[in-house]
Amino acid sequence: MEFIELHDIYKTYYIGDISVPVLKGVSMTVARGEMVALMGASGSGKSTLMNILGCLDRSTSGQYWLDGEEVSKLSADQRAMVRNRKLGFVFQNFNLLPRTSALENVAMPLTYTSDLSDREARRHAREVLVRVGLEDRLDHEPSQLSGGQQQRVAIARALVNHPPLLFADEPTGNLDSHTSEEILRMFVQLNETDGITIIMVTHDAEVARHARRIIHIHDGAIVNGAAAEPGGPVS
Amino acid sequence: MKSYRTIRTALKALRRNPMRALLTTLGIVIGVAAVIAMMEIGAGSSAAVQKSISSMGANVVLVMPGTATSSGISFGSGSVMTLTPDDGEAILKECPAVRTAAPAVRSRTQVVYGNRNWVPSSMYGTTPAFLDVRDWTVVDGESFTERDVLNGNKVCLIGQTLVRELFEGTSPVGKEIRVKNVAFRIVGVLGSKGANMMGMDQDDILLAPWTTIKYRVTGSSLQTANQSAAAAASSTVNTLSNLYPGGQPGLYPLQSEVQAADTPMPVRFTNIDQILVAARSAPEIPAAIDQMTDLLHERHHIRPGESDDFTIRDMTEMSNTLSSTTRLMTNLLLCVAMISLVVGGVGIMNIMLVSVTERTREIGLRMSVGARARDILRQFLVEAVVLCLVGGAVGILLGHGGSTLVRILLHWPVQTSPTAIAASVIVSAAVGILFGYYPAWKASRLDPIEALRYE
Repeated sequence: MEFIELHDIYKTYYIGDISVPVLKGVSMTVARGEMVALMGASGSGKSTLMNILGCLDRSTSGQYWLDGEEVSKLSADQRAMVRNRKLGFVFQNFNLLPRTSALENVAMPLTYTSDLSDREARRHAREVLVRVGLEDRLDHEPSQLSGGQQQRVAIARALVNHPPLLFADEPTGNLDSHTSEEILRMFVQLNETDGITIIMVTHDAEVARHARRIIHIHDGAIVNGAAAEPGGPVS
Repeated sequence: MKSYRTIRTALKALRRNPMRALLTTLGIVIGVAAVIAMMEIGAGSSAAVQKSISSMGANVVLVMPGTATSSGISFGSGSVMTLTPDDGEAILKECPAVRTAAPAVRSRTQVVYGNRNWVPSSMYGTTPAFLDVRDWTVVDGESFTERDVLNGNKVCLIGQTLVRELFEGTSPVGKEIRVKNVAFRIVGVLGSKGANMMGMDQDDILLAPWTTIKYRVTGSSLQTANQSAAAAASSTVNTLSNLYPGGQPGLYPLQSEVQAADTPMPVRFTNIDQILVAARSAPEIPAAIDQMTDLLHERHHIRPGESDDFTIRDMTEMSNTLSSTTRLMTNLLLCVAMISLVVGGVGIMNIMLVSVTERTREIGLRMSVGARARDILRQFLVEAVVLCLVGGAVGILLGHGGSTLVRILLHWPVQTSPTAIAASVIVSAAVGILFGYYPAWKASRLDPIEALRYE
């Protein structure tokens, strides 16, 4: 069994009496240690797929196996636990807490896992921030940081729990091309040296080029790239 | 999620917007401050009112001798002499609800100083405890002492009316007045009390040791001795023995034959006319009465079913009025407290709802990194409670400071009320939970996807 397996996922929204099918039978697999780009035009259902993959939403029908666990059957609290332990999120608009230092922003997810002391949590957060190259910005607030730096804080926050899987939702959408390149290189590095599985949602082919595999989604169905490449990097 | 972490997260969130936190909690601060200040000032004035009423005798209980009855004819209260000074001492010693007790012997006779004379409306032979019972102060000179009572010394205290009538306002301390031809040295002047509730002049009074009044002035109690009548009845006028009555009257006052036949209970040898008792506080009066009744039953060997040889009277009506007034005042303050705290709570709820809307993205983010619905609920609830508790604490300090200021600047009586402080803490926490719950619940119900996308 692969790291991520989706079998026949359907997602239908109901607006009053009208049903709007968004995902129409998506099946795909992702191997551990892959770096995948999820591409599609807006309205294609890639965000919905991303939400289901990220355990933020439940599919209407179908099975979703993550790391040997059937996530589609879990309750909201159990999904929160999965998000905390196994997933990291990087958003387009960074989503940092305002008027809160970079260090505290990064340490925030650790407040929802009870097995770390405060001192350990801060040490952890500092280590991750050093890794993304922000060792001299620990006490800066988001408003004092550039866009690239803010996104690096967000990446550090996503990594602080050592998740095996990282989701990036248009991670470079708010950045200039130079900083975009930096951030994308950081993803590639994380994928190659740390073996973190990365799923990146984008509509920019230039961004998707950094991924090992590109999944195209159109009108709620996967057009190509659904299966994990045999012989892909497994760590 | 550990609770201290929740509290710290809440504190951090509040610190992110200190101005708003301040404004939010202002309602609670003002509410609690008003409550504390009003409670303290209210309790102070209530205590002051209580004190002034009790100075008029609200806490005073009167023990009177019983009634002699002959063939169905009652002779009225005090017609048998059954109370002794020992009863008074026993009451003081054995009744825990009694603060002080003073025996009293009454008399009414003429007082002469120089060429002026006056008949005080009340003349009491008593002990220094009388002043304590009636909450009376000596403004000039000093009170007579227990030793004066033991020795039967001819000393007395006089009220303001006597000072006015006999001395025309000059200080009478150290002067001698004659009471039924017995010379009394004035040792002190009582403070002014004015008229009592029945309109009687309370300052028209002379106090002396009861032994002196009993043995030197009246000879026996309850003789309403009138100087002229006594003089007319006396065959020897102005004799040495009358001027300086050194001889003690008979130790065993004889009962008349009719009295002896009518009252099976023996008349005590040294009887007194009444015992004035002060209860520790107005609510303890019933307890004091019960305790005294039991004690006197025992001391006077009155078996169950037999009629009492004493009567106990108190000012129930006055203390009832007093307690109902106090209750009304307290309830009124409580209503005001409730209203202001509810207003403060609505303010908290209002701002918390705004805060939840404004921090929708933060809530979404927290959910996406693994916060469960109940973590979010707890965070916002704790924020509201922390706001309320901090507001309550500041309010308590402000209110206490305010009432202290009132005490210092306006000289109003103020009483610190621990009950009010405890109640304020509990109520502000309750307000926080009550009015913080809905916004927190709303926050926890958010859909993480929509919350993350919220602009």
